[in-house]
Formats: sequence, structure tokens, C-alpha cells
Amino acid sequence: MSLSRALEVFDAVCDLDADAQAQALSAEPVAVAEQVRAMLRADEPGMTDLAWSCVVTEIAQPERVGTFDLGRELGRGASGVVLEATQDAPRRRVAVKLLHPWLDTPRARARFQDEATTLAGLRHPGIPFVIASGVEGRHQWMAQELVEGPTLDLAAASLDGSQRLSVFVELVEVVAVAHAQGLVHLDLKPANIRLGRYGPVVLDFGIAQVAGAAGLQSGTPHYMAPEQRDGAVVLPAADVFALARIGEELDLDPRVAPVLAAALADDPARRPADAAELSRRLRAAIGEVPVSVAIVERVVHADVSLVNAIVRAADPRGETGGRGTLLSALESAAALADRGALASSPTAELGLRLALLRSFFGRDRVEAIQAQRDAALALLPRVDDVDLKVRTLLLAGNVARRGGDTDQAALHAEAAEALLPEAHPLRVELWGLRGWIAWSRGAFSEAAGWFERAIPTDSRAGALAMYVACQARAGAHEEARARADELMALRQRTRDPDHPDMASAWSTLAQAAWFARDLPRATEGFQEELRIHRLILGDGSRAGSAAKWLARCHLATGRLDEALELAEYAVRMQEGDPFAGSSLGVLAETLAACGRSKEALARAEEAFAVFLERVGPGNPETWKAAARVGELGHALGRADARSWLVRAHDALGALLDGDDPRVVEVRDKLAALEG
Amino acid sequence: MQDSHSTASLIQESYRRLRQLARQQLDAGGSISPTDLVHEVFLRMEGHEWESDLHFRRTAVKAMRQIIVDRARRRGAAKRGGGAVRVTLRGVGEVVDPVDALALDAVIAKLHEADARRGQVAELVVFGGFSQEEVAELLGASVRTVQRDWRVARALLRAELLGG
Repeated sequence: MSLSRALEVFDAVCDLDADAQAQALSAEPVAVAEQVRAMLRADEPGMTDLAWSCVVTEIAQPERVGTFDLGRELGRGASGVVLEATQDAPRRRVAVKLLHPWLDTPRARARFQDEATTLAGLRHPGIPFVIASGVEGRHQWMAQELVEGPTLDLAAASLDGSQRLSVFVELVEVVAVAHAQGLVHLDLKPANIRLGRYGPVVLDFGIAQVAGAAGLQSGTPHYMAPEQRDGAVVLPAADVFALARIGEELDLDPRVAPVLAAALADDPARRPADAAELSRRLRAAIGEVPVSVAIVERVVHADVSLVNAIVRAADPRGETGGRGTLLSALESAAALADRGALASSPTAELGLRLALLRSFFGRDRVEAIQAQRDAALALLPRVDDVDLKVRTLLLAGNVARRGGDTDQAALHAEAAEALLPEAHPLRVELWGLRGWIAWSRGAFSEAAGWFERAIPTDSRAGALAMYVACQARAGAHEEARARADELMALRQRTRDPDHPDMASAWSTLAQAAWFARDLPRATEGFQEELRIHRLILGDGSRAGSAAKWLARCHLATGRLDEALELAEYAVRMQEGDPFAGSSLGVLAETLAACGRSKEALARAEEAFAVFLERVGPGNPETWKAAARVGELGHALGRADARSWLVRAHDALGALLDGDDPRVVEVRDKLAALEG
Repeated sequence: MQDSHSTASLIQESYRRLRQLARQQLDAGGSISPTDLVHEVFLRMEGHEWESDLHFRRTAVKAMRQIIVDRARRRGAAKRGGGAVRVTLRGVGEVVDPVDALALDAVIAKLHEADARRGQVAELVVFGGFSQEEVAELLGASVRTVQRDWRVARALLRAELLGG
């Protein structure tokens, strides 16, 4: 057996010099040589006495400290364990660090409480904030912000060179903030650094010193500065050494190599004195830092309006670069999630949000939306936190709704509702989803009711915009126009004229005007919407939607050339969109108005097919498209024209009230055809 | 001269005694030193005639190790708030990082399997806290051999339990 061989070899070589040892080991099998090398590293040739013995300590870990219920273990180290915990009030998930009871010496206790106090004074996204600290039995504990995200050692492989560089620069800056407050870390290593929402987060500040005060040496040899290993007084320069080791492993831009080399000097006096100095030298070496993972994470956790803002900041003309950079950043975040580098719940959330963002950017929306729904359903069982489960269900519901499957979306909404306590903040989002489902089914009054409930607590005013859109379609024109003006006034006070939120405000105002037959105002609104979308996002689905509306306005005022150009543009831009049928319908009507009846009929049939396939027979829009086929077919003398209209009328009648304007319109057409 | 039956009952009695002491110490939420317990039991048993004093001591050390390991297993099996049994190894003038009791037991078992004598040296030193002369006497080996064996055993323990 190789262990007995290793023991013999160790016995034979342990007093030889290093060269002779290496030579002797070269003749051994790899497993034996490895075992002996590990033993040689652990050997203590100076200590010949036998005075070793053990002390056994049994630790009953508490189930609760302070106002925190302790849950599963997140990590374990030489100084203690970290547990997920739930705070009583406000109810939230936090991380509680329990120091091992054998670290409970008076010196270590004083040190730990000092460190908690100093840490509590630090406010930086890269340092978890302290919520409370105390002593429970022989366990000292500290409750901190729960930081989710992969540790640097797991994440590094998924980052490209420029991302690793920006993470490193941000890491150095986090440590600089602590140094400025007189805190040194002394156990910096990739496993102690997480990539959180807002960039790198440094865990375990001050813990190494607490352990030191209890007589335990801690720190990880590879990252430890020579003076720290020798037990000398340690200064921030020791952290600088550890940072440089981490930088070395990240395989950074060659321009930073001289800076790292200086930071790895054996003599602490020859290194940059602290992290702030290291940061200055890094910036001097590389100039500005490129788009970082911090931005990726911020984007991933942000809502779409923030994405818009970032896209715009990256590329104000919306031509190239900005969106591409952002998408590639998103792809690397997706790679992180796919590799399972993140804990399960955040992965699920990340996956869902990425899916939504991809569809937002992507041209091929139908495929993206299918992928989203699959991702959402696959990820659902992996989510155990109730809040996140509800959010996942809401996202899955939105995905299903956008994919045209309102029945599935309603099931998700019901599942979410069953999990939600009364007065939970997520209720607002549930109402939003219910509103969207009703919207997609063409039940505009019901949808308006849901969106109205969400208005008071929706800071982004999306609920108000949707409320207006619903009321406009439901025929409540005065209410719609008054609230649209309100939204516009609010936006004009707080947004500059090119802001994406202004596009949405213009669109809302224009729709209210359109349904109230105020064509000049509607035209102006849709023109502004189109201008802003093309400016910020470039050509795409949103610009296509604005163009479709504008084409309708021009068609209604007889400006056929402009209407045709816009309708064709809209069809191109919305090609993969679930409501692409709507652009096709406008194009059909425009072609008919231009006297190109055959082309018009072909487009109308295409529109119906797209509606049927993508939003299904449960949506009134599908049957409005069918009615259009009948109407255009009748103009061409087609025999089946009447049956199209009958089918459309019956289907609409089944979906809507008999006096709904959409039913009445088809009934009138049918009557005209027969009369 | 005692017959073998009474020797066996004495060992049983000492095992019972060890268990009781260990439980008292641990239930009080404190730490125990197996060495102290083994010595305490030995003192209480003094005055009895022994077939072999060494045999008794070796058995007491084994019993102590078993008690610690059983306790750690039960602790580890508890679901929530279970905690653990930790062992802190102490050398002269040093406190070595605490290690898991079960991990320590496993390494000593592995060592014993690869090399019975060195395994016994490790067990007697770690769980019994005996001096080099005592270990040499207990195992009927020379002090030099025991020193050498301990150096090998210690390097393995440190490499397996404390090494990166």
C-alpha cells in the first residue's frame, strides 16, 4: 500500500537536504512522492519531544442568537462558521458569523467587538454592513448583510481579461476604504471575495486579528506576507502583498505586472504602503478601467429602465458598441450562472432576469421568449426562498403572458398569489401581471382595474401608463386623456427630453389621443416616441411599434406614402414579435388604401396566421385580423369572405360582451356585406 | 495475582468510569483532556493488582478514543443545531488549529492500517498524552524508535489534518 511506502520513504529522507530529498522522491510513484512531500512540509524536525495531546470540545451550536433564527451553514473556516439566518424584524435574510467557541478568550472577545464597531462604521458596497453583534453562550456572533454571488476563485475562469482587471481594481479600492479606517484584513484570498451585485465584496474583515488575539495563527500561507509569517507587527502593506498575489493569479494585463512585482517585495517598506497607493499605481499603469463585471451585476439586478440608462451612457447615438458591450457582458454573466458558480437561488433569479433582458435586446423575440419560458420553468423547482419563488412565478407568468399563453400565465399568477401574505410588497407586481394577462386577453376594463390598484406604489409609473392605455381602449377617453397628461407632466419635470421614459409617456399620451380620435395630438406623440426609440435603442421592436401607430395616424389622415413607408418599416422591425401581426394588419390596410388590394389581402392573411400562431385564438386581436381578411376578400369578390367574417364575429362574441365595440364593428361589417 | 476474569471486569469498570467522566465534562459544556481522564481513572484503579499495568493503560486509551468518536458521530448525526466535537491538538508551547474529532480518528486509523506500531504511537500520544519513556515501555520499544515513529506519525497527522 502506498501509505506504508510513503511512511518508510519519509523516515529515510526527512533528514536529508532538499536536493537529496528531491532526487530520492523522483524514483517513487507519483502518489507516494506527493504524500511524502506533504509530510515534509508538515514536518517539525526541531521538536523531538512527545508532549502532544488533545483537548476535546463539544460545541452545541445555538439555533438562535439575538433576534436571528439560524439556518443552514454557508461556510466554515478556521475562525468560525457562517450561517444563513432570518431576522425577526424587519424580516430578512442575513448572514450570521459564529466564532468557534475556542476563540472565546477575553482578548479575542474584546477584539471581536472592537472590529464589529469599526466595521459598522464603514459604508461601502464592497464591505458587508454589520447589523448586530453579541455573545451567545461561548459563541461570539456578528450578523451581516447576506452577500450572494460566486467567490472569486470560482468566478475568475468565467471572466475575460478586461473583466478580471476591473474586478481587481475595484477589489483594491474596497480594501483601500478599510485601510483608510485603520482596518487591515490579513487573510485576503480569492475564497474570501465574492462577486456581488455591485462588484467585489470582501468578507471576513478583522477576523484574522480576532483569531490572532486568541493565540491562533490564521491566514493562508500562499497569500501571506513574509512579515506576517514571521509574526512581526503587520501593517496595511501585508494586505497589499496578498492583493498582489491575487492579481498575479488573475493573469492580468501585462501593463500591471511591474506594479504587482513591487507589491510582492519581501521588505514591506518597499511595497505600496496601502491599498490606496496600490490603486493609484494601477490606474497610472492602465489608465481608465473598461466595462466591469460590477456593471454586469448591476444590470442583471436592475430593471429595464436602468438598462436603458446604461445603454445610453455607453453609446448615446445607439449606433454600435454600447449595446454590443452590454450584451457581451450579459453573456458572461449567463456563463457564470450556467456553470453553477452561483448558489442555486441567485442562479435562478439571474437566469430569469437574463432571459428577460435578452428578449429586450434581441431581434428574434419569439425564439427568445420561448427560451425564457423554458428557463423559467426549469429554474422554478430550484428556488426555495418564498420571496424569490414568488418573483420567479411572477417572472414566469410574464414570460408565459408575453409568449401568448395567458392561461399558463394565470396559473403562475394564482400560484404566486397563494404564496403571498396579505399586504406583501410583491402584491403590486402580482396586480401588474394580472393586468397584463387581462390586457393580452383584450379585457381592457378588467386590466385597467388591476393597473389602477398598482398605481399608488409603482414608483416607475408603468402602472399609470398601462392604466391609461387600457382606459383608452375601453372607451373611457376623458379619464385616459386626463391621466396621460398627468403622466406627461410628471415626466417632463423629472426627465430630459431624450429619456426612454419620455418615449413611454409620449406613447401613452398618443394612444389616449388616438382612441379619442384626436389625430394631430396622436401623430405628434407617436412621432416623439419613434424619435426617442431610434435615438436610444436604434432600430428595433420598440421603434417598430411606434412606427406602426404613426402609420395608422398617417393612414387616417390620408398621407398614404408616409403611412406605407412606416408600415413597411414596422413589419421589418417587428418580424419576430408576438404582435407582429398587428404591423402586418396596418400594412394590409395601407396597401388597400393605396389600391393594391391583392397585396393587401396577402398581408392580411399573413397577419391572421401570425396572430393565430403567436397569440392564439384566445385573443380578440386574432379575430379582428380574421375580420380584416374577410373585409379585404369581399372587396376582391372572394367567395369565402363572408365565412371569414362570420367566424370572426362568432369568436369575438364568445370572448367579449355582445356590446363590446370590437364585436359591434364586425357585426356592422357583416351586415353591410349582406345588405 | 488476579485471574483473567477480574482483569477483564476491571477494564470494564474503568471504561464505565471513563465514559461517566467524559460525559460529565462535556455535558457541562466544557472541554475535556482525554489524558487527564485516563490518568484519573488509572489513579482510582490503583491498589488493584494488575496482570499488566501497561495492558490496562493501553486499553483505557483505546476506550477514551472510542468514547470521543462515538460522541462526535452522534453529534454529527443531529440535524439542526447539532454542533460538533472538535479536538484541539496541543504540542509544547503551541496550540494547533482545532480539527474534527472524526477526521483525527480516521487519520489515526489509516496510519494504524499502514503501520501498526506507528499507529499505536500516535494513539497513545494523542489520546493518552504519555511521555516518550512511557510509550516506549507500553510498546516494548526503544525510546529512539518511539521518537522516530512519532516524528513520522506527527508529520502525517499535520499534513492530513492541518495542511492546506
